[in-house]
Amino acid sequence: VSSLALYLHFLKATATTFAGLASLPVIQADLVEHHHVLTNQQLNVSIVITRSTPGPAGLYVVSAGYFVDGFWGAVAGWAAMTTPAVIAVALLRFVGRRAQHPRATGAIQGVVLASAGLLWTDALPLGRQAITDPLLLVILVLGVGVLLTRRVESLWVIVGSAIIYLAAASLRVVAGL
Amino acid sequence: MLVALIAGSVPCAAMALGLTAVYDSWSDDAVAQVAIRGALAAAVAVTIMTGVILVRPFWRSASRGQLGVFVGGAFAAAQFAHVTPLLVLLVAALAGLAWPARSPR
Repeated sequence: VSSLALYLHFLKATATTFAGLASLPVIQADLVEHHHVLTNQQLNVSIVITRSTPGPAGLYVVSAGYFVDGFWGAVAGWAAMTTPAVIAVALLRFVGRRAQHPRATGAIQGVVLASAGLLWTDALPLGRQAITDPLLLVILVLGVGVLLTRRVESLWVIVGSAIIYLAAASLRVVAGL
Repeated sequence: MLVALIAGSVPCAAMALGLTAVYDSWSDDAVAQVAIRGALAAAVAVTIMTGVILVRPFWRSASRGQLGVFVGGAFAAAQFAHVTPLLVLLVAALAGLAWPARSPR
């Protein structure tokens, strides 16, 4: 996949969704399942990396782009991430108040709600690939519980999970070290 | 405004790029790989929670029927009928156009 093609694949995903990780299902279907240039593990690592850095959740396309095509892939990801925002700013000048029409917001709401359903569909293969022992399942459940009930940045859940698993491995509770 | 938008995203993107390159170079390090396995489990939790965050603003404004149709319908279409995400989103946009929910407060 060339950088330009990669940009277009990413753009297809970022331009048709309205929130950071909501583009994940389109990218997973395109680059993991159809073109086989990215793995579920790399996609999952991209999420880890971007939730460990400041900035929007949609930034994961930069990491995913790097995994596919190195530096220029990352540039393609960044360009695809910013293009819809640039177009939206320009469009708002022309569309103005019409963007607040109930039918226009209804269409956006439909896409956002459907994105949630698609994200949960996507969590299944990512989970199958990432959850390989009971402790990782416990970490997943605890992570959801903490994020659901506490105002904690996802960064701290990711860092905490890495430390817990590392500690378990060094105590030989799980394999790896 | 456009320059600010583009310039604002560059430092974060550079940081993500740097971290990805570091991850790539650590792919043979056993300790780093173990830590990453733990982090990956948490990333799945983040993905699940992102779905919750997307639904939350509409929890009160949309009817339970709308939530069920849009969220459940998208899940079922992709998971069981293997409809492509893009088609699911297109149908959801058209359905939202015809059946708008109240704006979230």
